[in-house]
Amino acid sequence: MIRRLFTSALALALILIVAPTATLAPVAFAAENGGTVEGVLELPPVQSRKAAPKRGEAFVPRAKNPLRPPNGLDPRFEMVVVLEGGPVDDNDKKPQPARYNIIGENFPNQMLPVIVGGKVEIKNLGTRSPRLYSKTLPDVVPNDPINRKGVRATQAITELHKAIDIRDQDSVHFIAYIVAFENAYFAIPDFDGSVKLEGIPSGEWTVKVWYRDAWVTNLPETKISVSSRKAAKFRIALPAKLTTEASAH
Amino acid sequence: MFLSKIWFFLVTVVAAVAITIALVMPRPAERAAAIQESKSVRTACLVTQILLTDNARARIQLTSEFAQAVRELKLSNTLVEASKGDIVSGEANATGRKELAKLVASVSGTKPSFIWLLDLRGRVVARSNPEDPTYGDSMRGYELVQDALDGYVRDDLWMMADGLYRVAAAPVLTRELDWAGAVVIGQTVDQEFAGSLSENIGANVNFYVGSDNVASNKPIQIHKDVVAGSQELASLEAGQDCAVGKILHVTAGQEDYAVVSARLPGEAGQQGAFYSVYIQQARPLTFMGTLKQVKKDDLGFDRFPWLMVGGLFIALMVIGFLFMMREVDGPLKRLGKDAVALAQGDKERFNEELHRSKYGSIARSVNIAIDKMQRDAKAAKKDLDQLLGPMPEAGGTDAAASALPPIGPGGDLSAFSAPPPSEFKFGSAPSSTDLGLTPPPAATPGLAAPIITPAPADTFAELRGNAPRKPAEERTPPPIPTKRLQGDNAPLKRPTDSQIVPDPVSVPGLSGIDADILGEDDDVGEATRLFEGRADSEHELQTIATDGANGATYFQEVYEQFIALKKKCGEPIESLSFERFAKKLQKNQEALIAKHGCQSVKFQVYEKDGKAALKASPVK
Repeated sequence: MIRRLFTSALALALILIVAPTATLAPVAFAAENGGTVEGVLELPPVQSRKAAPKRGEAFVPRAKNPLRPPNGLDPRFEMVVVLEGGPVDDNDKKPQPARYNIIGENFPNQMLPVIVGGKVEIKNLGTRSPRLYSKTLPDVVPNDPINRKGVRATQAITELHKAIDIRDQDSVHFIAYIVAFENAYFAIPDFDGSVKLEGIPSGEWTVKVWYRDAWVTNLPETKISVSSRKAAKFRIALPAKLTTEASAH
Repeated sequence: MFLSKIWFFLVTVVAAVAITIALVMPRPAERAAAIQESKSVRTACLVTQILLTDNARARIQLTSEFAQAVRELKLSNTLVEASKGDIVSGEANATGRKELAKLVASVSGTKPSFIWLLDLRGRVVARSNPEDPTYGDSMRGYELVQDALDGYVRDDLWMMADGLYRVAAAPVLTRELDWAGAVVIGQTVDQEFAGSLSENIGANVNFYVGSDNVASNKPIQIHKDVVAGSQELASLEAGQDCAVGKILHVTAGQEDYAVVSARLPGEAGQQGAFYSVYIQQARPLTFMGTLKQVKKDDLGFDRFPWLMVGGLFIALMVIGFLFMMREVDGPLKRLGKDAVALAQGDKERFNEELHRSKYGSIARSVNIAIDKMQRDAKAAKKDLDQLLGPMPEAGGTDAAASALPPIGPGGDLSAFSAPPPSEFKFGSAPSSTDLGLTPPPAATPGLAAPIITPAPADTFAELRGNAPRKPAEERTPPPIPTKRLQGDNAPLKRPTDSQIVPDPVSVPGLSGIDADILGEDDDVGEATRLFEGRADSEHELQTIATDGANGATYFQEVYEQFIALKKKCGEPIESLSFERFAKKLQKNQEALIAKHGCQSVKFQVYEKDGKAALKASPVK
């Protein structure tokens, strides 16, 4: 009886330990016993923002909602918040698989960050069976259809800071970008722009923002001090017009 | 004939032109029909585009009304609350489904295929389709949904798992005008929709996505050709597909269709969606095909110019008849009339002035033949005169020539014998035509010239077949043919004496050819008749003079018998002296002896037609 109780307790402990690792949360590739970083990417006022890009048109040109002015461009779904400049745990440099889910017609966020050398696991939680491919790196992902709840892993992403597009052959609007960073200290914003990183080693960090295929260069420098006792917070006001390394070139 | 030939040529040309027109006319009609079909199918394509645009506007309007209804029903608050959670709650889904069902029920007419309520994250809070209870999946990937969540209303075309959909989305706001989410309405593109379009444009409509046909108003299998032809659309400027796109001509079964395709916009358009409008082509119109298409109404008096066609036909025919009458029938009739007059002796030759062209040529040819025969007759008379002595001048040359017997010791008179009718040919050369039809002119009464009775053969009328022939026993035996036609150009040959002298054995005691000497001296006005025939046996004189001494005695006997018979017949004898009678007999005797080589000549006195007559027969 005692042995049975011991075995059950051991199994439960094992599950409690392994489960967080297996369930790769998009906001946390963090070192153990690290600090927490919370922040938000704020959009400029609607009036100062560019209009949302024209994404397509059918028979009738899109029209503004008569009750309220439309939202402007919201680039946060294509952004990755990255911490740099702090003490990096060696474990957080090791390539680890990053899992992203397809929900419905696309990923929740179009950016799929991963530690360089790591693979991206894509799980289909939508109703369709997408056939993924990439224009940038054609062999990076299997092309066979992913059934519902199926998983496909990409090749190891070895090139740093290069956006690799992932598309669906049967869908026009399905697109996401895989980008490899040096370590696990990155996070993708929620739909309201909020960001949360956990397990960040204590130290001074610089908050940088990656937009689609390059770093945003016209943001004010944002430095945070991370400790295990208190969450470090930041607030980044996105400019009305973003400038990136790619656009600068 | 000139005008008739010209006329027939013109009529033939007109007929040829008419036939050519009839054969050629279907081709321009075909081209016109093809051009019209091209215009029709392009117009139908453009109208389809307009109808699809109108349909999209109506759908956007409906979606906006739905968004407004969601806001008024406070369903927008449910969307706001759902947006806050990491997942969409079942409670929010239930509320959303319940309210959506009410909204769908309120829609009159064609109801949407689906309605989605989305939260701010683009996740499905509720679906209107009771058969699809799922929720929580994100639709944010759709550009339409992103636009709606950004505050825009628009339409789109989606190729979903179960087909092509016309969709529209509009943002949903709370009563406080905060963003709450979006509503998406979709209507499938199916056979019913294609059918309604087809009714409006008067053409068939197919919808395709890539190589898949997703909707058609008719199950006509032209998809393979249409899809293949749609590859050229990529090279066209956007929006110009209907106007400048290539018109395909495809065949399904036994029908031909003209097809024009146009790309569809939206996401489905980026996936290769397009629609095709096609109409059935008219069959190629051949001449016979055109005739088969003729209906009874086409031949009605109100549609077809029967009067004009009939009048034209009659005019052509009348003009043709007039030309024929003027140039053929009239001249032929005149020639025939002239020929009849010639045959009846009313004319001696054709009047060439009356006949023109070919008929004049015929008349001239006949006249030449007549002239030749007259010359031959004169020559025959001359021969006879040489044989029998000169004829009295009072009788005239023609009378003497005509009075010659067809056969006799006087010479070859074969030219005057009547040939068989079948030998008569107008077309024959005059020189070779043995007409023999010229009736002998009547001797002038009162002249001393010998009166020659007509040939005992068939009369002229009999020869022509116009008069009934006499019975054989009544007819005088036909003359011995002295000339056999040897073709149109055969020369007229004089037969030898051996040919015309019968075998003496056949008539014992006679040389076979008898000659009668009728008459009296020219001075007394009596005619002397020479004719072929048998003498009366009762008046035969058996004495034959063989030399000059005996001849005088013989001639005396004959003279006495002749005088006696004349007395008996009541004829005057005063002017007939023995010297003259003997001289005549002597001359005839010498001529017959010279001609036939006979030893003597037998003279027979006999009565002929109540008059005394004398016949000479050579004796070998």
